[in-house]
Amino acid sequence: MNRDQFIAELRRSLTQLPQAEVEDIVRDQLEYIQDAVASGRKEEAVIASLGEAKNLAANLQADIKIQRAENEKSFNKQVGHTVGAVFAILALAPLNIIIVLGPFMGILGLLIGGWALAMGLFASSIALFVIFIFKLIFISVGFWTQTSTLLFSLGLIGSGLLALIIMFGISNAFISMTISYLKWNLNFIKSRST
Amino acid sequence: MLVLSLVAQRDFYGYELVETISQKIEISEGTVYPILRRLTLEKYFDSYLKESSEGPSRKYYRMTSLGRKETEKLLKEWKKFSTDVEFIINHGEQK
Repeated sequence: MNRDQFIAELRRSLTQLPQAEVEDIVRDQLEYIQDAVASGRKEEAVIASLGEAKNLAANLQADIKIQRAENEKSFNKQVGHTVGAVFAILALAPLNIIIVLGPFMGILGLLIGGWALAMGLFASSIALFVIFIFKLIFISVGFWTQTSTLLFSLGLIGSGLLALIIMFGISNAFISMTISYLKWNLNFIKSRST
Repeated sequence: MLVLSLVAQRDFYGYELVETISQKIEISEGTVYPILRRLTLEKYFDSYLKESSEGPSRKYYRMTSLGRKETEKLLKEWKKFSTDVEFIINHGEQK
């Protein structure tokens, strides 16, 4: 493969980066090849030693996605970036489907279950409260029944809120754990291919 | 870590780094560039372009103060690790 073919393949594979970033990477690679050839090596040999353009591209894109996930402040976007980073890592090696996707999906399932539970609790507490207000206005029941229903539904609202807050904390912890796990995984892939 | 400690000494450009490391240790060339880019992304390095006499301009990598801190930390850990390994090799199990 010569330098033009290598760069063309690199460009084809770097689909998920902004144009300026791609140009910068291409510039760096051309500089590198140029320097290597100037030191007396054959162009084909230099390019062979750089490895597959596809792998290089996947590596660079995974790095950037992890970085984005880590720096993102907004919770919703961070979730998106983390999922993106997981899939970028998946693209790097087939084995990763087991060691990354397995645990990730497992914990993700638990998290979604937890969110559903917390939201259910919160929604039913609100519903109970609404029913209580409705009863208060339209049906007259005894004072003590009213008070106990009120306290019960307020308590339920409280625990619903608490559950939501706990889920939020757990999800945040999960995201930062995922990011450091991905980083470790990426290092592992890199050192293995050395 | 090799890349960090080299750039801590002076500014390097890509091929020069690979050449310097390859003199001592066999590395696959393709792995160095992603490392450089990642270290730049993490703000351990910044880079600047400089004209070269032989052709197109070169991108030099320069260490930031954040990178210097990280390098010191890593070097300390590495030194501890290597003296521990050496101790075990020379003295065997510690009783």
